[in-house]
Amino acid sequence: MNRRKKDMMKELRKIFMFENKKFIMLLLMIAALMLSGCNQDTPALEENNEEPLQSVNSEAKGLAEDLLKRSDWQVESLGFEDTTVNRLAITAKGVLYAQVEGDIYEIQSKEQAVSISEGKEITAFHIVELEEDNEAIIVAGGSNGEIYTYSTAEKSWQKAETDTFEAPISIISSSTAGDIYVGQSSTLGGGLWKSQDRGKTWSKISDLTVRGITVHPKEADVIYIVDKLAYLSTDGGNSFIKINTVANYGVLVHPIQSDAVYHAFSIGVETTDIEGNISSYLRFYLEGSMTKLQLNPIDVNEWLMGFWDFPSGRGGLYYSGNHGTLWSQIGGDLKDKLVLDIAYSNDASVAFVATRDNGIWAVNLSALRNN
Amino acid sequence: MKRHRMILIIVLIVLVGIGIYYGARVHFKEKLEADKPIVGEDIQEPQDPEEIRIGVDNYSNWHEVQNHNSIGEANAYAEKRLEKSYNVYLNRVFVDIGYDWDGIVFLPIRSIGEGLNWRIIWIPDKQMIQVVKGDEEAFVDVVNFFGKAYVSLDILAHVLNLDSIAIEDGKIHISEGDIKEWQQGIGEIKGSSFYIDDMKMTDAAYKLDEDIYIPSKIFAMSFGRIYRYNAEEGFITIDGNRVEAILIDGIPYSQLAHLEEIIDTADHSFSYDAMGNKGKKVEVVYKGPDKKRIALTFDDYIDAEVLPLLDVLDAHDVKGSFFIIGNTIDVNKDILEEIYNRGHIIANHTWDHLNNHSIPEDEFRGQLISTQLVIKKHLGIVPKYYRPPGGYYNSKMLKIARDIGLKTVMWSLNSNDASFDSKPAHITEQVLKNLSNGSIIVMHTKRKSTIEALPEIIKKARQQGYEFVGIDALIP
Repeated sequence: MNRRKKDMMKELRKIFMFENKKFIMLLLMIAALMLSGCNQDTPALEENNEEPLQSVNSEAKGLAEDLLKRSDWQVESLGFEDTTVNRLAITAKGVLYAQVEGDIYEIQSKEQAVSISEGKEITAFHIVELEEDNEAIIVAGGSNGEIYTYSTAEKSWQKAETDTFEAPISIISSSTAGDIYVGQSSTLGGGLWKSQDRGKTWSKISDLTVRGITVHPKEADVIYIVDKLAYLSTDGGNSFIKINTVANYGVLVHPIQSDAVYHAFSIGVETTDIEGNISSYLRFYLEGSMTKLQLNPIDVNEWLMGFWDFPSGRGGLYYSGNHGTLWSQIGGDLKDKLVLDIAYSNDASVAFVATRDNGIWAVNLSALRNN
Repeated sequence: MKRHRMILIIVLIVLVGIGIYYGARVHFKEKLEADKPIVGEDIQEPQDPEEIRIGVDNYSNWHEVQNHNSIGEANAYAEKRLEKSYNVYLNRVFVDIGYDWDGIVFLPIRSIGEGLNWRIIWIPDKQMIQVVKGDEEAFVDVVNFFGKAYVSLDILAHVLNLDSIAIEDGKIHISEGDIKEWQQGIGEIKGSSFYIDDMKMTDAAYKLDEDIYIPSKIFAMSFGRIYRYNAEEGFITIDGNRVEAILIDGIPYSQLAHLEEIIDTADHSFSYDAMGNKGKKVEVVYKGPDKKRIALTFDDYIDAEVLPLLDVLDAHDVKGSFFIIGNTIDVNKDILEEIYNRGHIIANHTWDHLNNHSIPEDEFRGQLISTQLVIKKHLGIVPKYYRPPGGYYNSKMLKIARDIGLKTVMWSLNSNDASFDSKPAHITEQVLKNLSNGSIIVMHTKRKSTIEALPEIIKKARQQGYEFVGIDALIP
């Protein structure tokens, strides 16, 4: 064996006996590069395993407070699997109410959901907080035009006398001054009814058919209604004028920053001032149509939206932290669930989401924001 | 010593590199095999294997596998989403098909609204429809499904003030206003096939008392004419002219003689028999033979914006193949002639660019025949090739295209120029990276990025030895 061969053998021995540290480092670097190249997957929103921060707001109450005792979750089912949940509302005490296929359920905690509707066929409901009594009343509409009220303190129902049509009640809303409005839109007819005594008596104030009602949070006499077109009243519903917008999906006004009025339609919102003058138009570039839009009650820049492409059967819940400009889909088990309603907890730390055929879900917004 | 060490390091790096290369090849080959679509399952090809020819067994690269799989998946998904369907009858007359999506029944608003004399105005920016009748108006959020607007049954009933809706046995019966009586087809009825210029127009023509009756709508559609059903008055019109019609199984039929009074058919031949299909093979082609010949294909509308594209092709002496949507050909006949006279292939991309999964069979025939006839009117030739809009097809569509004399031509290489943010560099990279023998490349007619990308694509492809040909040179 000549000298050159001997040297080579020596080098090989060094390598395989791990004597040459530089070379081993080189191999390790190649291996590391290969591994980093293989792993191209970007973690999805729901797959982030970082420890989410606790809600910065300590005011979470009731169900939200209960859920936030744990911090290791982002999206969680609250039950009613395989069931359609149409509508959600939450009281100041943090109790969630859900309209589930004609019943109203009271949900105190994840384990405790009780039907309170006593066999009534409910098509719409709304919670009216009574600050002086530290309780709430639930105003509910029935499938044959009935209007009921439920006291959360007394846990009992009252039926009101009305002249509504024998058809489903479409929508119920209320003003901060305590006026309650019921809207109806059916093939038999419709209208707008108003109660100023906590739902005991009702009077019809408009013959316009009504599918959506929004009362301005700071101007109790300013009411927006939508049906085939959108209308505005500045006198508590006694008279209405047509708003110059094609958006008739629903009207949203932020409770704090209430100068802008958002008129939703299937793929965006038109913004008007309080008097209905259009100031801007925003289109969401997603495939499909909006199924629900909700504003964070303490941050006007944060919106949640249900979006669904019916022909393809895809969509779900979307989040925007920049006033609807950009949207991210909230993944996990909520992906491809058709969202029908969204309710924020009082401190906006948790969102409750009603879905078609897939029950109710909670979204840990505190954790989501940290991502 | 140092030199020896360096030699050894280089040798080992080379060995590692060779290992990675072969590993990747094995991995790719395995993936290719694993992901190869199973013809007959993925895209629901015709059942009879003797009857079909599909160029999918000669994949050359990963893109082609993905391309074919994604088309297969999209088609299977579309079929699934359209599984729950309803024939919709308005005042006893069949008008269209509705679908149950996620528990909500959706109906096409245009056919029903127009039947009840509502003006249906599409607002593209907002993807809404405005409906207007007299003093009444409303804006309707619609669900778009390949150019056709659907709205939920509930909303439709509300917006159009429909009197009654009954759902039974896969049918939806809508009644509104006074329902007029139609003369019903009676006597011995025998359904048969009816052909125009040897293209099968319908399988449901009838002979009644020695008169041939054709479904009025399909006849009008095949000539690209405007058919209207006035449900309030109970009659039909073609190009605004009222046509005498009788109702058979909820479908208005008119005598061929009456139809010929409205539509000039002098340049066409008709035949009538009970033969069904003519036994030719069903053709669906994804790519050409394994030779250094490739085809550029351009889909969709034509107008003056196509001229710069033609100039680029001319400048490089390339023959393209244009799959053209029929409904704007009449107003752009000069452009059609220009494309043809410059030596490009003219092919059929249906009349309205709908997803043809979702429309009735006879209407699909109308979509193809009307495009054939308008091209024949202006050029004197009948296209041999058809491409389904969006790549959506099923076995029924393949057979219908066959009955009309059309081969279904897909693509093996998607240039991705249809993406709204597609830049020339992306298109160039996408095409050059995935080229292979026999590639059929899909592009679109009115895209500036495509026009800018083409010179580089043509130059580099030729440097690699490829020859650009029309699809007629790839498909026998």
